[in-house]
Parts: sequence; structure tokens; C-alpha cells
Amino acid sequence: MLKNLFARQPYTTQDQHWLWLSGSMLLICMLLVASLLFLIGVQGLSFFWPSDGDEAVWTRFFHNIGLFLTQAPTDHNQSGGIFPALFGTVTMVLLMTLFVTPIGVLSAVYLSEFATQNSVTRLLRIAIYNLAGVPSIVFGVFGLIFFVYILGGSIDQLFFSDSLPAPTYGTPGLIWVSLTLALLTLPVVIVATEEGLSRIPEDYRSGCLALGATQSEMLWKVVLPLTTPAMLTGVILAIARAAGEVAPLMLVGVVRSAPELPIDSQFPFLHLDRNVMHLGYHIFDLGMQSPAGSDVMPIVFAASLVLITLVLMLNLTAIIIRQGLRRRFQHYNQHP
Amino acid sequence: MTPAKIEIENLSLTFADRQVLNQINLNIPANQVTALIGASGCGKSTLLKCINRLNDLKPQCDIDGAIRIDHEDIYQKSYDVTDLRRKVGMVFQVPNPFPTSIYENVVFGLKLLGVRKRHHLHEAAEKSLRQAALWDEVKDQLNQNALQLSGGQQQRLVIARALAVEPNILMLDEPASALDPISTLKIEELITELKQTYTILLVTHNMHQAARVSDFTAFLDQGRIMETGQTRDIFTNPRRKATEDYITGRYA
Ligand SMILES: Nc1ncnc2c1ncn2[C@@H]1O[C@H](COP(=O)(O)OP(=O)(O)OP(=O)(O)O)[C@@H](O)[C@H]1O
Ligand SMILES: [Mg+2]
Repeated sequence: MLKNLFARQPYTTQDQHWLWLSGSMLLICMLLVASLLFLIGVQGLSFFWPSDGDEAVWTRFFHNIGLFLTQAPTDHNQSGGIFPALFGTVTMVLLMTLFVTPIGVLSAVYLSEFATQNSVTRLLRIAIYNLAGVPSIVFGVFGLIFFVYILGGSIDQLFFSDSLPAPTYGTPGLIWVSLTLALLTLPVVIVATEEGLSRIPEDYRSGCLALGATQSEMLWKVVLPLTTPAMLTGVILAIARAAGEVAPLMLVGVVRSAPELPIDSQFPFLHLDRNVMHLGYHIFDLGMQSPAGSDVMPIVFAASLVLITLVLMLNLTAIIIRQGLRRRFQHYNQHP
Repeated sequence: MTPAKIEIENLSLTFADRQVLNQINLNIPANQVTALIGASGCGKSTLLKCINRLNDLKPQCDIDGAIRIDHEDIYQKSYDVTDLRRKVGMVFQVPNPFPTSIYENVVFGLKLLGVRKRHHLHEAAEKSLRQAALWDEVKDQLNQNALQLSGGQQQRLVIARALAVEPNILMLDEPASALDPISTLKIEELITELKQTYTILLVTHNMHQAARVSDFTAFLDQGRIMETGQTRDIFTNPRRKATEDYITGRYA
């Protein structure tokens, strides 16, 4: 029976009603998600499908995908590939991870391991947790004022005064994009790490201290290694959220079309001051702003498909790493 | 009377205004086994954790009074707590091996001390595992995760871990609660052997064990010391009714 496949047999007719109600809601959700994936998937893939002839269609299909991923856009983004946008998205997310992981983890460590637990720490914790609910555009405004104008402006005055009034860092750029993203996702990492720290059994801590470890030795040798799966969970969530953000980034360095990639063979190789392109913005720009109107919709679908795949892949990688760590520590949950 | 290694003077402890230890006065003689007996919840483990200052970091815990080891006040500001804990080894009531290999567990304390030479670590690991009567069972699987050991093996592993750093006081909180008679016997032999060099504090609910291995006994009741004395005297001729009732199992 199909019904028994998904749910246990309910006892009463009232249970029956609830089963049907909740079951149909789930069905609606699944249908919506499925049609979204189907629409994007079919539309996106059909963009690559060769329209003419039947000779070696598969080879040409994959060749088209390859071109789309590796070529720069042409003709005001209306044709060609999406390489710079893809590259920009990956670069800014990776750079953000580099910022948010140590800052988030160490803040969580201070908050739950070193700080005295009183009303001040409680207030601080509430503030951090609520930061996660602040609309992201607000972070964009903050990033523009604080990072670009104040921080970037001061850096220019201190180190790049020769080239003023032309700004070097006092203008939107990759570094500010990544820092804004890091700020945006900081609460996620802090919350996950704190959660993980609180789950380490008290026994391990006292056992470690009783052998003559200092508090920091205890942290580094026992507590933090055991918390890595939780930290990674936080970082995964941060990455997932960051890869999908667009609006705030338009204020701090994401542009419609950047002349150069943020990484190239010129010293210092990683150009933190450059503007970057972003897949999400690319999609928005094509879908909403293009003079060609609905002619470009196939590219929008194809780029969306790439964005979804990218986010899925980032998540998948992190999940695989986390599972590996889980396996290494699988026994620590069995402790009485 | 042998000289006191640990002197506890008017020690009181409260957890969030709840009196757990009440005006404890107790001298623990050097190179002897002192048994700490008393009903569940009377404060035995808490008392042990005062001696290596593990209660310090607990929230809402207030400690009053003094503890001196070798005539030095361990609660004075200048006292090095990590040094104290190396001197005072502790085996916890619930075995708490770290989720690493058996070997890493045993050498954990030595590595903290900065011992890096491999042969030195190996020797120490083997020696302490032998002392704790665990070597023969684990010698071929030293890299196995310690949490895969049975409860009784874990109990012996944490004993080995405490022994490896060679403290001079050893506190054992029910070290044989999950052991079979043979392993229990081995641990008791170990305790008797160790008292040549160590001062030992043993918490046990097993009256026969207390009678067999300890020289001194302290009976604790609801955070107070009810009676102390030579184990011989306490078990054959207790001065207080409460002690006699507890020992003979008539505790209400
Ligand atoms: N961290 C803590 N916070 C609050 N109360 C505590 C804490 N640790 C222990 N207590 C209380 O102190 C009392 C003594 O506990 P303790 O663990 O010392 O008993 P015990 O004599 O070792 O008992 P058992 O024989 O069952 O191990 C108990 O009533 C317990 O509830
Ligand atoms: Mg206890």
C-alpha cells in the first residue's frame, strides 16, 4: 500500500485527518521543489542541447557546457559564457570562509569557554543570534560605509597616498565583498561552534585538567578537535547562505562586468581591490536589465542551473569532509 | 602516627547555597591507603575534587577552609594549579578515556609534560598498563580507539593514564566498580604495592574492599566527617552508632 509506505497506520479517524492534511502539505512542498528543479534543469540543459542536426549531439552538448563555463561573456553579457561570474562567486565565497572560520570559532570559544557566564554574556549571545535575522541588505549598507569608506579610505591615506585622489581600497572590491559576506554569516558559525562546544562531555574536560593540562591545552588537545564536525556544520551553512547572497554585494564590489579576474599571473596574484562578477548578479542583470528582453532567458536558466549546481557541490564537499570527521569521532557520542 | 601528607582544615563547600561539605577536618597520612566511605551523595567525590581543585571552575561553587599538601596551602593565590594536578592523580568515578587511541590516552599526561622521546613514552605506557593489569589484553591493539574497550577495561585504562605521570598522591573514586573479581584483586594488589611510593585515597562502596586494602578509614555522612581512625578499629569497634549501621548495612 502506498500509504503504508510513508506513514505508520494511524489509530483513529482524527489521526487519519491529520495524516492526510500533513501528507498533502508535504506533497505540495515536494511538487514545488520538484517543478523548480525540473524547470531550471530542463530549461538550463536545453540551452546546451545542439539545435541542429543529429551528428554527435552528445559530444557537442558537453562541448557547449564546457564553453559556457570557461568563456567570458560577450555582447553585454547576452551571449558567450559565464566564466568570470563563476570564478568570482567561488573566489569570494572561499575568501569569506577564510575570514569567517577563525573569527567565528574563536569568538565562540571565548564566549562559552573563557567568559564568565552572566547577564552580559547572555546579552551578547542574544545580540549575536539575532544578527542572523538582520536583512542582508543592511549588511551591504554597513559594508559600504564601514569597510569601503572608513576602513578602505584610511588604508588609502596610510599606504596609497601617492595615487590619491584615485582610490585603491577606498572603493568597492573583492576584499570588502568577502568581509561583508563574512559578517553576514558570522552568527551561523558562532552558533554552531557554541552548540558543539556545549556538547563535549564534562568528563573529558575534567579528565584532561586532572592530568595537569592548562585550560588552553585542554581546549586545543581535546575539546576543539572534538568540536570540528560542529564547526564544519556552521561553515557549511555559512557557505550555503553566502553563495546565494546578491543584493548586499552589489554595494561593496560585485559588478555587472569586470574587466579583469581577481586572480591572475600578475603580482600579487590575488587582487583584493578589484571589482568582481557574481553568478547571482549576472542572472539578475540578464533577467531584469537586458535590452534583449526575453531572448536571453535561456542563458538565465543555464546560469541558474550552474549556480544551483555550484551551491550543491560546495555543500556536498563540506558534508563529505564532515562525515569523514564524524567517523573518526563516532565513539564520542556513546560515552555515558 | 605517620606524618600527614594532606591536611584538610574546616573545609566547607556550597553549590549554589547548598551545603555539600560541612566543616571537614581530616588528615591523610603519607604512604598509606585512606578509604573514604559513606552513602551515595554524601560528598565523597566532591571532597576528592577539592584536593585537586577541580571544583574551582564550576559556577556557583564556594569553598571555605584550607587544604595543605606537604604543609603548603594549595588554595593560596601563588600555588600552581597544573603542578598540583600533576602531583595529585585522579581516577574518576565514571571512566572517562579520551576518544583517541589506547596508547594516546596513556601517554597524554606525559606529552603535556613535554616528553617527546618515543622509547621513553613506549616504556612508560607499557609500565603503567602492566601496573593497571591491562597490558596483556591490549598490547596488540594499542592504536585502537579507547572507547571501544569494555567498561572494566576503560576503568583500568584511566588508572594507567593517571599512573603514567607518576603523581605522589593518587585518588581513586570507586576504581573497581565495573571490574570482575580477578581484575578487582589485581587493582587491590596494585594499590597495596603503590603505597610504598604513593599516598592513596580510595573511595569505595565495597566495605570488604575498604577493610582489605585501607589503613585508615574516614566515614562521611551528609557532608560531615562522622568518624575517622584505623580501618581495623573502625571495622571491628566503631565508636558511633551511625558508622556501625553503615558498615553493617543497616543504613536507613
Ligand atoms: N556540580 C555540581 N553542582 C551542584 N551540586 C553538585 C555538583 N556536584 C555535586 N553536587 C551535589 O553534591 C552532593 C555530593 O555529591 P558527590 O558527587 O560528592 O557525592 P558522592 O558521595 O560522590 O556520591 P556517590 O557515592 O553516589 O558517588 C550531591 O548531593 C550532589 O547533588
Ligand atoms: Mg561519587
